[in-house]
Amino acid sequence: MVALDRFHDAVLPMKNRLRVLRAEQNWSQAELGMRVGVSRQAINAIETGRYDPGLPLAMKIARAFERRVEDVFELEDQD
Amino acid sequence: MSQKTGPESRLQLLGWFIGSLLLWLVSLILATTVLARRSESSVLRGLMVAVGVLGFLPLVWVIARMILAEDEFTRRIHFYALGLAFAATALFVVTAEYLRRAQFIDYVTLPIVFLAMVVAWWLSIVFTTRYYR
Repeated sequence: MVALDRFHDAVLPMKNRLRVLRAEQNWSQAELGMRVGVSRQAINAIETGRYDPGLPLAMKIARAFERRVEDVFELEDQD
Repeated sequence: MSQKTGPESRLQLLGWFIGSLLLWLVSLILATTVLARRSESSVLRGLMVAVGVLGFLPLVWVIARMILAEDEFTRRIHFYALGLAFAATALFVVTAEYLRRAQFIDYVTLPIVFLAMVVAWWLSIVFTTRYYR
Protein backbone atom coordinates (compact mmCIF):
# COMPACT_ATOMS: atom_id res chain seq x y z
CA MET A 1 0.00 0.00 0.00
CA VAL A 2 2.98 2.30 -0.50
CA ALA A 3 1.16 3.78 -3.47
CA LEU A 4 -1.67 4.88 -1.17
CA ASP A 5 0.83 6.55 1.20
CA ARG A 6 2.36 8.54 -1.65
CA PHE A 7 -1.09 9.46 -2.88
CA HIS A 8 -1.98 10.78 0.54
CA ASP A 9 1.23 12.79 0.80
CA ALA A 10 0.69 14.32 -2.60
CA VAL A 11 -3.00 15.12 -2.33
CA LEU A 12 -3.80 15.35 1.39
CA PRO A 13 -0.75 16.77 3.22
CA MET A 14 -2.46 17.27 6.57
CA LYS A 15 -1.41 17.04 10.18
CA ASN A 16 -3.50 17.11 13.31
CA ARG A 17 -3.30 17.58 17.06
CA LEU A 18 -5.75 14.86 17.97
CA ARG A 19 -3.39 12.92 20.18
CA VAL A 20 -2.39 15.98 22.18
CA LEU A 21 -5.95 17.23 22.58
CA ARG A 22 -7.15 13.78 23.51
CA ALA A 23 -4.46 13.51 26.19
CA GLU A 24 -5.51 16.88 27.62
CA GLN A 25 -9.04 15.55 28.01
CA ASN A 26 -7.85 12.15 29.17
CA TRP A 27 -9.95 10.49 26.49
CA SER A 28 -9.14 7.16 24.90
CA GLN A 29 -9.38 6.74 21.15
CA ALA A 30 -12.52 4.71 21.66
CA GLU A 31 -14.08 7.39 23.80
CA LEU A 32 -13.37 10.12 21.28
CA GLY A 33 -14.72 7.85 18.56
CA MET A 34 -17.91 7.35 20.51
CA ARG A 35 -18.29 11.10 21.02
CA VAL A 36 -18.04 11.85 17.31
CA GLY A 37 -19.76 8.72 15.98
CA VAL A 38 -16.88 6.77 14.47
CA SER A 39 -14.88 3.70 15.44
CA ARG A 40 -11.67 3.60 17.45
CA GLN A 41 -9.92 2.45 14.25
CA ALA A 42 -11.05 5.64 12.52
CA ILE A 43 -9.57 7.82 15.26
CA ASN A 44 -6.34 5.83 15.18
CA ALA A 45 -6.12 6.16 11.40
CA ILE A 46 -6.60 9.94 11.67
CA GLU A 47 -3.97 10.28 14.40
CA THR A 48 -1.40 8.23 12.49
CA GLY A 49 -2.00 10.27 9.34
CA ARG A 50 -3.34 7.37 7.32
CA TYR A 51 -6.75 8.95 6.95
CA ASP A 52 -7.92 12.56 6.69
CA PRO A 53 -11.54 13.04 7.77
CA GLY A 54 -14.18 14.72 5.71
CA LEU A 55 -15.47 18.12 6.70
CA PRO A 56 -18.48 16.96 8.78
CA LEU A 57 -16.34 14.60 10.85
CA ALA A 58 -13.55 17.18 11.21
CA MET A 59 -16.09 19.68 12.54
CA LYS A 60 -17.54 17.11 14.94
CA ILE A 61 -14.05 16.39 16.26
CA ALA A 62 -13.30 20.08 16.65
CA ARG A 63 -16.61 20.61 18.43
CA ALA A 64 -15.86 17.70 20.79
CA PHE A 65 -12.65 19.47 21.81
CA GLU A 66 -14.40 22.86 21.83
CA ARG A 67 -11.85 24.13 19.35
CA ARG A 68 -11.93 25.51 15.83
CA VAL A 69 -11.30 23.07 12.98
CA GLU A 70 -8.07 24.85 12.08
CA ASP A 71 -6.87 24.46 15.66
CA VAL A 72 -7.19 20.70 15.30
CA PHE A 73 -6.21 20.15 11.65
CA GLU A 74 -3.78 22.03 9.46
CA LEU A 75 -2.02 21.67 6.17
CA GLU A 76 1.57 20.59 6.29
CA ASP A 77 4.06 23.11 5.00
CA GLN A 78 5.29 21.99 1.61
CA ASP A 79 8.48 23.13 -0.11
CA MET B 1 -26.66 12.54 4.29
CA SER B 2 -27.86 11.47 7.75
CA GLN B 3 -26.44 8.22 8.96
CA LYS B 4 -28.40 5.81 11.08
CA THR B 5 -25.83 3.60 12.72
CA GLY B 6 -27.59 2.91 16.03
CA PRO B 7 -28.13 -0.64 17.23
CA GLU B 8 -31.73 -0.71 16.00
CA SER B 9 -30.85 0.17 12.42
CA ARG B 10 -27.93 -2.27 12.39
CA LEU B 11 -30.27 -5.02 13.53
CA GLN B 12 -32.72 -4.05 10.83
CA LEU B 13 -29.99 -4.12 8.19
CA LEU B 14 -28.81 -7.50 9.44
CA GLY B 15 -32.35 -8.80 9.16
CA TRP B 16 -32.64 -7.45 5.63
CA PHE B 17 -29.29 -9.01 4.75
CA ILE B 18 -30.31 -12.44 6.02
CA GLY B 19 -33.68 -12.18 4.30
CA SER B 20 -32.23 -11.06 0.98
CA LEU B 21 -29.54 -13.76 1.18
CA LEU B 22 -32.20 -16.42 1.70
CA LEU B 23 -34.27 -14.96 -1.13
CA TRP B 24 -31.25 -15.11 -3.42
CA LEU B 25 -30.48 -18.71 -2.49
CA VAL B 26 -34.09 -19.78 -3.04
CA SER B 27 -34.31 -17.99 -6.40
CA LEU B 28 -30.94 -19.41 -7.42
CA ILE B 29 -31.94 -22.97 -6.61
CA LEU B 30 -35.36 -22.60 -8.23
CA ALA B 31 -34.09 -20.96 -11.42
CA THR B 32 -31.12 -23.28 -11.95
CA THR B 33 -33.19 -26.37 -11.20
CA VAL B 34 -35.96 -25.46 -13.65
CA LEU B 35 -33.51 -24.27 -16.34
CA ALA B 36 -31.49 -27.49 -16.04
CA ARG B 37 -34.55 -29.36 -17.32
CA ARG B 38 -34.25 -27.46 -20.63
CA SER B 39 -37.93 -26.79 -21.07
CA GLU B 40 -39.32 -26.21 -24.55
CA SER B 41 -41.30 -23.25 -23.22
CA SER B 42 -39.47 -19.99 -23.79
CA VAL B 43 -41.97 -18.32 -21.47
CA LEU B 44 -40.95 -20.61 -18.63
CA ARG B 45 -37.25 -20.10 -19.37
CA GLY B 46 -37.75 -16.33 -19.53
CA LEU B 47 -39.64 -16.44 -16.25
CA MET B 48 -36.78 -18.30 -14.59
CA VAL B 49 -34.33 -15.69 -15.87
CA ALA B 50 -36.50 -13.05 -14.23
CA VAL B 51 -36.68 -15.10 -11.01
CA GLY B 52 -32.92 -15.52 -10.92
CA VAL B 53 -32.10 -11.87 -11.60
CA LEU B 54 -34.85 -10.31 -9.49
CA GLY B 55 -34.01 -12.65 -6.63
CA PHE B 56 -30.46 -11.29 -6.64
CA LEU B 57 -31.30 -7.58 -6.74
CA PRO B 58 -32.47 -7.18 -3.11
CA LEU B 59 -29.15 -8.60 -1.88
CA VAL B 60 -27.24 -6.05 -3.94
CA TRP B 61 -29.42 -3.26 -2.57
CA VAL B 62 -29.03 -4.38 1.05
CA ILE B 63 -25.23 -4.65 0.77
CA ALA B 64 -25.12 -1.14 -0.68
CA ARG B 65 -27.31 0.12 2.20
CA MET B 66 -25.08 -1.59 4.74
CA ILE B 67 -21.99 0.11 3.33
CA LEU B 68 -23.69 3.51 3.14
CA ALA B 69 -24.88 3.15 6.76
CA GLU B 70 -21.28 2.98 8.00
CA ASP B 71 -19.22 5.97 9.12
CA GLU B 72 -17.11 7.82 6.55
CA PHE B 73 -13.95 5.96 7.53
CA THR B 74 -15.47 2.53 6.94
CA ARG B 75 -17.07 3.77 3.71
CA ARG B 76 -13.59 4.87 2.58
CA ILE B 77 -12.26 1.36 3.24
CA HIS B 78 -15.06 -0.11 1.14
CA PHE B 79 -14.42 2.46 -1.58
CA TYR B 80 -10.77 1.44 -1.89
CA ALA B 81 -11.63 -2.25 -1.55
CA LEU B 82 -14.20 -2.08 -4.36
CA GLY B 83 -11.68 -0.33 -6.58
CA LEU B 84 -9.05 -2.97 -5.89
CA ALA B 85 -11.57 -5.76 -6.42
CA PHE B 86 -12.66 -4.27 -9.74
CA ALA B 87 -9.05 -4.12 -10.94
CA ALA B 88 -8.30 -7.63 -9.72
CA THR B 89 -11.40 -9.04 -11.41
CA ALA B 90 -10.55 -7.26 -14.64
CA LEU B 91 -7.06 -8.73 -14.48
CA PHE B 92 -8.54 -12.17 -13.90
CA VAL B 93 -10.85 -11.86 -16.91
CA VAL B 94 -8.09 -10.57 -19.19
CA THR B 95 -5.69 -13.30 -18.07
CA ALA B 96 -8.30 -16.01 -18.54
CA GLU B 97 -9.12 -14.77 -22.02
CA TYR B 98 -5.48 -14.79 -23.13
CA LEU B 99 -4.96 -18.22 -21.62
CA ARG B 100 -7.99 -19.43 -23.55
CA ARG B 101 -6.76 -17.91 -26.81
CA ALA B 102 -3.37 -19.53 -26.17
CA GLN B 103 -5.33 -22.79 -25.82
CA PHE B 104 -4.07 -23.44 -22.32
CA ILE B 105 -7.53 -23.45 -20.80
CA ASP B 106 -11.13 -23.73 -21.91
CA TYR B 107 -13.77 -21.02 -21.50
CA VAL B 108 -14.08 -19.80 -17.92
CA THR B 109 -17.73 -19.96 -16.92
CA LEU B 110 -19.50 -16.92 -15.53
CA PRO B 111 -20.03 -18.50 -12.09
CA ILE B 112 -16.25 -18.87 -11.83
CA VAL B 113 -15.81 -15.20 -12.75
CA PHE B 114 -18.44 -14.28 -10.16
CA LEU B 115 -16.65 -16.34 -7.52
CA ALA B 116 -13.33 -14.72 -8.44
CA MET B 117 -14.97 -11.30 -8.06
CA VAL B 118 -16.33 -12.15 -4.60
CA VAL B 119 -12.97 -13.54 -3.45
CA ALA B 120 -11.16 -10.48 -4.83
CA TRP B 121 -13.60 -8.22 -3.01
CA TRP B 122 -13.16 -10.05 0.29
CA LEU B 123 -9.34 -10.03 -0.01
CA SER B 124 -9.41 -6.33 -0.88
CA ILE B 125 -11.42 -5.56 2.25
CA VAL B 126 -8.94 -7.55 4.35
CA PHE B 127 -5.88 -5.80 2.86
CA THR B 128 -7.42 -2.33 2.99
CA THR B 129 -8.57 -2.78 6.59
CA ARG B 130 -5.06 -3.92 7.60
CA TYR B 131 -3.54 -0.90 5.86
CA TYR B 132 -5.66 1.48 7.90
CA ARG B 133 -5.25 -0.38 11.18
